[in-house]
Amino acid sequence: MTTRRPGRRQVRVRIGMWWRILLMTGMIYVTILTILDAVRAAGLDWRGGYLALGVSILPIETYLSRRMVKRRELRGDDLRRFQIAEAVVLLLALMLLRFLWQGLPTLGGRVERLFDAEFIFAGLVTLVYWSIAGAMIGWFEQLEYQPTEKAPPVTSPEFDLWVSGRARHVEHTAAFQRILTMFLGGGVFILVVAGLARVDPRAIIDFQRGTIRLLILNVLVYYILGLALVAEARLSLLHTRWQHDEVSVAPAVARRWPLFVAGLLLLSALVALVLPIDYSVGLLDAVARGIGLLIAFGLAIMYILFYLLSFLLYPLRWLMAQAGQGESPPPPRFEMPQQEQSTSGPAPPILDVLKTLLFWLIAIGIVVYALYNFAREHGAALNRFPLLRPLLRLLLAMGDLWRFLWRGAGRARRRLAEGLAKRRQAAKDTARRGRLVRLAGLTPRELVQYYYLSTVRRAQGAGMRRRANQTPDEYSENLAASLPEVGTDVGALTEAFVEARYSAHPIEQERARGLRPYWQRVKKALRNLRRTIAAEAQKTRRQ
Amino acid sequence: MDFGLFIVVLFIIAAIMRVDFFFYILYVFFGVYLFSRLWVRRAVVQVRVVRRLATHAFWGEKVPVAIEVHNAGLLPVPWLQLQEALPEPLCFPTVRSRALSLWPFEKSSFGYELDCRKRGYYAIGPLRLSSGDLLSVGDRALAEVGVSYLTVYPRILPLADLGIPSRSPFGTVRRISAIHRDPARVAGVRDYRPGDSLRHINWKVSAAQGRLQTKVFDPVISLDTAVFLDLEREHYEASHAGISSEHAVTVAASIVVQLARQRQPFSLVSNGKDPLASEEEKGPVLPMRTGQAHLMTVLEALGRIDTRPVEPFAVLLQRETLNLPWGCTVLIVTGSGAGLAGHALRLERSGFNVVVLLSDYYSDLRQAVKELELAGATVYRLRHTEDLVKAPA
Repeated sequence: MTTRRPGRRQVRVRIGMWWRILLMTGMIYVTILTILDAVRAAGLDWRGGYLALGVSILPIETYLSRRMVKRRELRGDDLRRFQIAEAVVLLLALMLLRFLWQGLPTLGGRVERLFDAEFIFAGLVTLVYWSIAGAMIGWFEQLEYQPTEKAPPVTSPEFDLWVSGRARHVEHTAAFQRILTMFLGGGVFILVVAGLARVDPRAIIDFQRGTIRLLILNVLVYYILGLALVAEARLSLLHTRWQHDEVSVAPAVARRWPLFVAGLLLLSALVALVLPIDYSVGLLDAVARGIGLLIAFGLAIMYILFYLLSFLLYPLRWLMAQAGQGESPPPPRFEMPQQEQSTSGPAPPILDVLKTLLFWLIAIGIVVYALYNFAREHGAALNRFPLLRPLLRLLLAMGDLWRFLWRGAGRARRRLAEGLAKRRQAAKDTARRGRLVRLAGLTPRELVQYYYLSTVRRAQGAGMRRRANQTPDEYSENLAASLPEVGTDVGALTEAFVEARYSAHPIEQERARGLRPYWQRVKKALRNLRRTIAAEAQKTRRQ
Repeated sequence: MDFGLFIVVLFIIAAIMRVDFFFYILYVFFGVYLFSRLWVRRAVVQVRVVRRLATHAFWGEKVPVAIEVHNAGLLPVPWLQLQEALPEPLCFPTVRSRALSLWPFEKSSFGYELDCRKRGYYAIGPLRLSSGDLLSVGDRALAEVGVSYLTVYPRILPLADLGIPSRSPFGTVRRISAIHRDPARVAGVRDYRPGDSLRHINWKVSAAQGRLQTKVFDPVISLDTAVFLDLEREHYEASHAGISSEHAVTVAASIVVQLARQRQPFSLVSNGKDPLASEEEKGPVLPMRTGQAHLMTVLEALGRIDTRPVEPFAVLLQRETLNLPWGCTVLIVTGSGAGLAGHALRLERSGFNVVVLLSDYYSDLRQAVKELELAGATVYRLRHTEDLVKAPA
């Protein structure tokens, strides 16, 4: 017989499983501590530390016993007998632990005293957690890729058995969902129990009070460990899928996974620190005060509007009074209306009210977002319940509205950005066009070019645009035809420009300066033309 | 229960108990929920993927393909699965997948090889990218990178392996009366006679002898060769049509390579479908040219060509032989040669040198061969060696 050394994957699975057991142990431990807190808060004097100790070792015990069952291949009645024996041993171990923790009880010859209410409760808790630990470990095993899932070669005789067998249908995703549900369900349980242990039941129905400041470490630890466990389960699920699809996986994926999870949690925790978590004004008070503030604000706006109107009408009133020989009315005085004092006591400070309203707004926003996504993802299932249909439709409509507004805002933002960009560009162009050029500072070549380009720009302003395919001479002919009185001047400017633009020889200062009268004449003619065009356009509009 | 519902339940408990810590837990969970949903969607958009590979490969070559992944954004990508779809003839399994994780601005790459054992025009890809969050809170984010194309040239075999005489089998024919003189084959010099072309004067020899000497060329004509590849299904034995038509493509490619080596002009005409051509276009018709560039163009067309015909071969032959120069060799690569005798006779009478290569190994072609030979065509029955038959289909 040959012994197979475990491969890297098997080692990873084993290490992963011990890590998961450790996480489960921690979660179970804090849950039991929370239950003990609740029991103590109920006024019962119970030294139940042994229960926390006993229950927290259940995941390890369950894992080892499952391995034993597998190794011995126990099934049917054998398995049931094994499990009953295991449960009995667990209860006996719990009893022993209790004696070690609390000391030996005085039985007085009555053995039944061993099975008191405390033991029955502790035993039930132990059995419940035992089954939970067993289920969790089973689901984690189910998450892993089973060798039986791999298809044998199509030509081998085992292929038909494999196709018709159950071995290939391992529900990995379902196992993950169960783990997630167990964690979230446990989260709800621990929150309720911890809440009941710390909050007076009478305070729950007092809607006038604000939040209570409390830090419950058990709950915090439970959620941290639970999220780590879910992340681990998710990684296992992905690994299984990748193995199934024969995907080669970079080692960095598993190595970086805890860092990413920690980063995500840290980021969420930091953002949560910024958000308001407490408020001092009761919700109903805050809403009432908020509505009151809104009304007061509306009234103030209306009062200001009326005051402005009366201020504008005051000269008219004054004239009418003068005409009627009456007494001049006094100018309107600005007086804000006084708010009525509440009879139910002093109003809470505005800041507290705003903080409370902001708090509830955020909380309700979160719930609506979560509900909307839930409805979107489980719409088909929820549609089967007639009572939920209106709520579903409302949520989806709200989602559609939000998307519509978001898209609209996006469009508006884009349009605004485009408009601003256009305006910036136009301003730049205007600045460039209107920039004062010191002609004395230009070289003769630049001066000649300036005279011509300035003429072209002005001609364009007068509606004689130069086409991109027109040469300076062709354009000059067009211009001369439109302005026959300065045709020769345009020709001279164009000729000089062509020389300055395309020749290599130096342009004389005198020649450049000599063009100025031509340019001025053309400029004047273009100005006149622009005015004539504007006058005609105005006349046409009037007609 | 999922995260969304849990947040609602958490809110209800927190609102009833009004413990600030519970609200903090609610915010943390909502943060996890929201960031998980947004993170992956944003992160995948910023992933850039480039596929690098050669666009052409010779038969039997191994083409390395490199996939380069770059996270161009600020957000890390916790996991990214890349799934490349590959053509079956070049790679098995036909999907190559890789899962990786990327820090911001990190680059990663992976590669594989394509074993080009079958000619063709192949789409490599698309490459599907999928990613998700760490806790299975939101949906999977998906993206796709387009396809790249690879042309594998057909297999080139020595003509002797195909059962064709490899020494000047067609194209160049020695004739007693010279139709054209081949300036590449100088036989000697003679005294200049009036009417001789000045371009043919051997100036060096003329200077040495003191009188004008004209070059004398070999009485050879260099014939153009038009390769006609018939891919009509009916011309191949039904049960082996795939192998035989592929074999015909190999034969055509081997012949054009031989012609290119001999620096002879050749063209290619076929009724097979070119995948790059539009629906209306017929099969490839490549003009008569010489040179390496032309050879590669022809090999590329042969590499791409689909063995499904777009028109009857007879129609193609009728149409395309009209434009051939007189005296040209018409080399037909076909399956059984059924119905070709009439065309061969017409072509022979029109002054063409007709050579028919039959690639259908599995049918009794004695009658067809006899008819073709009677029509004046030179017929070669191509050899299917075991090696050829066993070559991957």
